[in-house]
Amino acid sequence: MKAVKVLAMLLLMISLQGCWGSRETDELAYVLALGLDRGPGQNIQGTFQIANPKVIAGQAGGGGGGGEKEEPLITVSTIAPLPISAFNLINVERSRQISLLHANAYIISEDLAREGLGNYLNSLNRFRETRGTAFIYISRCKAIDFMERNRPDLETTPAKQYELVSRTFRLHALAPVVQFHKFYTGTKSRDRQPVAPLVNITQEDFAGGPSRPEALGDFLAGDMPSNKGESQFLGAAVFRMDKMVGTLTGNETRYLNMLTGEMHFSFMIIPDPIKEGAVVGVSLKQARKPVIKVSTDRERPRISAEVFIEPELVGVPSGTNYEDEKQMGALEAAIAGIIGDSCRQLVARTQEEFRSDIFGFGSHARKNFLTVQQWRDYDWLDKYPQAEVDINVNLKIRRTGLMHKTVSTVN
Amino acid sequence: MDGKIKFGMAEAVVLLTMSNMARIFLSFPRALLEMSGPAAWLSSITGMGLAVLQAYLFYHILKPSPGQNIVDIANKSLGNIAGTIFNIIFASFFLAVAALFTRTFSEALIITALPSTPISVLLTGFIMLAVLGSYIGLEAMARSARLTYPFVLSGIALLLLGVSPKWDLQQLFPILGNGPVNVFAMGGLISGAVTEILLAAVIVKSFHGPEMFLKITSRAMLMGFTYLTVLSIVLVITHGWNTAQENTLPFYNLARLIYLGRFFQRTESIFIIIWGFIGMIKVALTLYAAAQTLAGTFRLTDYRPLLWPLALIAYAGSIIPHDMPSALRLESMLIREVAWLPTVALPLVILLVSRIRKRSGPNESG
Amino acid sequence: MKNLIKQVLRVLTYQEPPSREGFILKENYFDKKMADSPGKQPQSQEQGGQDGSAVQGRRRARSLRRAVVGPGNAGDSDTGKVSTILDRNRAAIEKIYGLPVNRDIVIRDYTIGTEPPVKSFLVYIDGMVSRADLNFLMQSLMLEAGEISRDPSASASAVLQRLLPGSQARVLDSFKDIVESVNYGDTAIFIQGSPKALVVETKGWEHRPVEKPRNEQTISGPQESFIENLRANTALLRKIIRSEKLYTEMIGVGKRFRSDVAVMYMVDLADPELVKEVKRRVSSIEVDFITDTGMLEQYIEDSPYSLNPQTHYTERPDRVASYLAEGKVAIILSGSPYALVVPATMYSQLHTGEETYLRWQYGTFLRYTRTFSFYLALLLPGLYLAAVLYHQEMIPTDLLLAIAGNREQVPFPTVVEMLMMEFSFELVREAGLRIPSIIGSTIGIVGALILGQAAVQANLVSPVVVILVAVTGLASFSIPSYSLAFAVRTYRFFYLIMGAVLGFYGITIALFIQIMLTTSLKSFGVPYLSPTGPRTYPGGDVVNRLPIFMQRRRPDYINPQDNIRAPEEPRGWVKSDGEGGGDGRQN
Repeated sequence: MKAVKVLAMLLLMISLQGCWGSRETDELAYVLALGLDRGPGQNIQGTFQIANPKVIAGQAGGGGGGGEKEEPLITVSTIAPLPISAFNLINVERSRQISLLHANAYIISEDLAREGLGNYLNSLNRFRETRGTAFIYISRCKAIDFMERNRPDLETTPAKQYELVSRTFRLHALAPVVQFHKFYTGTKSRDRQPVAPLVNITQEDFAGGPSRPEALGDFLAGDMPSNKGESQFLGAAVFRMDKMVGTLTGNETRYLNMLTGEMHFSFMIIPDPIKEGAVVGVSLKQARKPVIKVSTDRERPRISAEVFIEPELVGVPSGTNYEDEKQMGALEAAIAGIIGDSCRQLVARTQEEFRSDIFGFGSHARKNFLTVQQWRDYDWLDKYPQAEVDINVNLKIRRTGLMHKTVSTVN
Repeated sequence: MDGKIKFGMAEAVVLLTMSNMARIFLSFPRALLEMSGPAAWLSSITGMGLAVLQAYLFYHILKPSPGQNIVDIANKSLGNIAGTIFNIIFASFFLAVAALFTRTFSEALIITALPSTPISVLLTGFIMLAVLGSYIGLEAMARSARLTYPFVLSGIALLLLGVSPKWDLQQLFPILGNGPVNVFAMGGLISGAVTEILLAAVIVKSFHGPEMFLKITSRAMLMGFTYLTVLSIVLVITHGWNTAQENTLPFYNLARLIYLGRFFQRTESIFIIIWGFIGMIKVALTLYAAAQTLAGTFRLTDYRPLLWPLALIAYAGSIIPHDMPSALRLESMLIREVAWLPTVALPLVILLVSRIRKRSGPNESG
Repeated sequence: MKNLIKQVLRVLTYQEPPSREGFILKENYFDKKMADSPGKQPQSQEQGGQDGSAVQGRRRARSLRRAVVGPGNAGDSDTGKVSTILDRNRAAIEKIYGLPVNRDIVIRDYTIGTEPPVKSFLVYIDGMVSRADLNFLMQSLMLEAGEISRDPSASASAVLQRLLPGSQARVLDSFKDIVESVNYGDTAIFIQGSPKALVVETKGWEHRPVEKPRNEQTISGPQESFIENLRANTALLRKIIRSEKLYTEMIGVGKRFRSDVAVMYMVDLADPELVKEVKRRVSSIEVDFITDTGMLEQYIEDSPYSLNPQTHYTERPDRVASYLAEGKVAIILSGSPYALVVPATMYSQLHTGEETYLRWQYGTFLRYTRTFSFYLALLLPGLYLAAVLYHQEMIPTDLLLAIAGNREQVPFPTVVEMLMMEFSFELVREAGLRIPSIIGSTIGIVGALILGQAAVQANLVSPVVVILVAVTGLASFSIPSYSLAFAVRTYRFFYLIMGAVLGFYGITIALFIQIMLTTSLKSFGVPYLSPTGPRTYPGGDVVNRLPIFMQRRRPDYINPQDNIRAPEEPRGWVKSDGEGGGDGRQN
């Protein structure tokens, strides 16, 4: 018996040459980010950012002398009907087999998204090399421009940048975190429509500023003033099934995240309720996921949502002592009012302008039905724009930071 | 060697459970989801009940003649010709299961892990390993199952918990899925068609008696179906049943979604080890059962010489389907339509005949 | 000057080399042997002399050969038993040992100082007897003998009873037995007029003192190891197990030269079937000679073709004693400092005494470390190859790019790299055994430099592979059983190849095969992977080491006669009503 095993091993050893499917690491070219643009005719233009391992390893190891600096990334682009065929065509120009195994980000341009992404998503989902955990970004400029001009200076590769950006989204909640799997499921589902974060290269200089003080982050990606011409991840693109139907500014996305329960941390500026003309800064945290109840017995569905927010005082330039109980109550009421109004405006906008339920109210409505047939017949997608929505904000300022009492300055 | 090996309850239960679990790694959950919608877990529970009933049926067949497995009982009750026919049907059922399983497993491996390997390599590997496993014997298989079971269990738990950030419990509604008829009747029938009970009835000589048989099989069914139920639930709450039906391999797709920080992602290849092992055990066990059945039918002393021809037949059978979707169709046809014959109908006949015989002739030998 | 010219001339002119008959091992060795026995014609020594007679010679030689085999069997029947005539005995001894050619044997004539004096002679092998014992013996025989009876048949036993101050003495009358004992270091005494000879035990040859164990070192615990002397080894064990229930049975193996094998077991603990089986296997060996316990192991193990060792091969008496106390059986061969303990399971081959002598937390920690390094030593190269060649998506992106970048300039495929490094590591290991210690450290530095630094700088291998191979090598050193470490190293190559050929699926195949083969292995009736193979009571000491006061029962798979090691609570001082200590455990 052992002889059989040994013999089998030896036979296998002989067939080591070119054994099926084994690919050395230096036979592959790793694509780190994938971009899709509208191309001529029915085609799309696929852009691939390929990593240059020599340079990356050299940078990390700190070895190597001077000489001309090679780029860590190579951007190649071609035109084809489907993303996967573009991917295959690139192999014509390259000496190595292209691999999508490490493609962490898919960047889709806005005009392509507005036409409908259904065709392209299908091939991405079927291919075994693509990740379900890649991040999706919708770019307001052309994807190829964005990818070429996106040069983060703190990271060696944009792959890391795209992954780390998902972390920073949690700090400001001005853009949603969407992975491919969630996006794809959303395009096929009836109860929650997908959103995707917007990206752009910085367009503005320091010319403008936010329109109202409480609309912090009220820009679309690329419009926020900044002195470095870098990429900005801000705002959201709203989809209905697989077509993009509109955009949300960063400010509105904050309320979107609140209503879906995905806001981790955010900032807000409100006008000072006691002192005119001044502002108060608070940071927001969500205490628990919002409680949503949907009733479907009448003609128009009725949705009631209750969000739980816990702000913390961050800055009180007016010197008013908001730590005191009465004044804190006033502040809380002011904040709750602003949040409630903004949420209602946002929901109204999705109902009238976009006609798309991006908050996931539909998944709560499913509880009222017994079988899938009934749910299908009810057709939430049509009923949602007529729904009555009622939003409650439950707010309590928990902490005031390091200062317990603000002593007013002598005026 | 048969009849002299006895192993304990733990090993037998684990062996049967692992063999039952093998189908949840393939396309079976997808078919279940398609049939029942979000209520796939209810179908699975129904199937569990049906399987336990099946275990009872076999228990009643085996109880009056301890020390004999179903092959001997068929021979005894039905006489030579009918008994031989029945046993050959059993054996060919096992062989068909082994062949189809090898094929679907190899296809799954090609899709997921080894895209450029020709399928004949994988098929050959599977069959050779099945022959090796059956050759070494049931004892070694049971012990290896027992040995690797903690790893398998922890791997599955890791997988299911690893996608927990993506759980959305709302997706379980509507509760009754595609309608009670579909969920309970059809879904229950699909998931309840298991080969393990018939298999256990063939290897029953290695258990310590028919009571143990009942305990072992019911426990194995409970555990195996629990896995199926839990997996169905997790599938639905992670994907939503709409998109979950699209995946060829739902389990693998779950593994692809694990994203716990930058380091621990795309670790689905580890699960290849787990499910490769389970697949090998299942095919080895089924091949062993087929060989043992035939050896019992023709009253041979040892089943080992039969292994090579049966392996060849299984290999030939696994190449028959033209492509993966037709292999899957064959499999579901096998499960839906054919499986009830050898696992329920024929044993019922055996039971009735043996009862009638007993009642009608106490002076008859047997 | 003249000399110089002569030398030059001698070099320049050709001179035939002086004919020297080189040594040629001739074909017809049989003829030479035949010439020795009386009554046969001597044949010619040249090769291929007379063809017919050469063939005949071989045929006759073959039939004669069987008669010539065996020590002590000199062929003639009248040297079979001791005779009463002293000279005949001396002639027989000289013939058997080949005196005066064989200078190791000493025959010492003397006279026993009785009244009247009796002639006698001693036979012993120089170097195997202890001088002091011999002198004392002779002193008592020659100087201090008193009156003894004149009856010839009783004289030997009279001498034995009254005059012989040896610790073990026997009366023998067959030359075969006498010669066997003299070969082992005893002294034979032949007395004029007695048909029996006396054999006194005077063993005393040079041997090593008891030292620290060379290959199984521990930080805590006793630091003694076995030596080559059988009696010293059994004594070391007896020192630890001071019980009358410890039995030692002696079995002789080896036809050409006999070695003693001691089979030791606790008669009230070990399964009698096991002991019987061990004795049966050992006594049924028919072989020329056995020099080391390793050879004995290969003769008696269940599956000699399997890679895993099925016995414990240890040089520490404290380990053997703890195994004996569990109910296992120890086999010790004279002339070998290693002992065998059977039956063995893979888990107990991975234990050392260190974990028992330390507290249970440290012991458990050590066990976990060792388990982890076992898996590393087995699987790490295979898994690395499978991941890098087939499943690149598993590796985090930055790590993958670093690996890819480092591999850009390496000319070999990854498999070849890995195999090269593995082989050179094995080379280092093998050469390190034989380097003279004086230049050992220099070679070590050179080896490290060459293999490590220079190979990486020359872009022959990538640094990741060097690290991996080094870690794997270290991990394989942490396996306590030397044979099992070898087995693991061999398995590692299989995993390497399977991982390179079929990726993770290949690893799965190899795992399946190995698990199947290992679970079907048995060691003296005990399944190799107990207590997880078949689920038996583990005894609290398999992977986790429970506190020592919780290990109350012996492991079940050996079937000991008495399961309970200690009572409910072995620590007497814990009991509150002062029942006192000293219960349960003997000291």
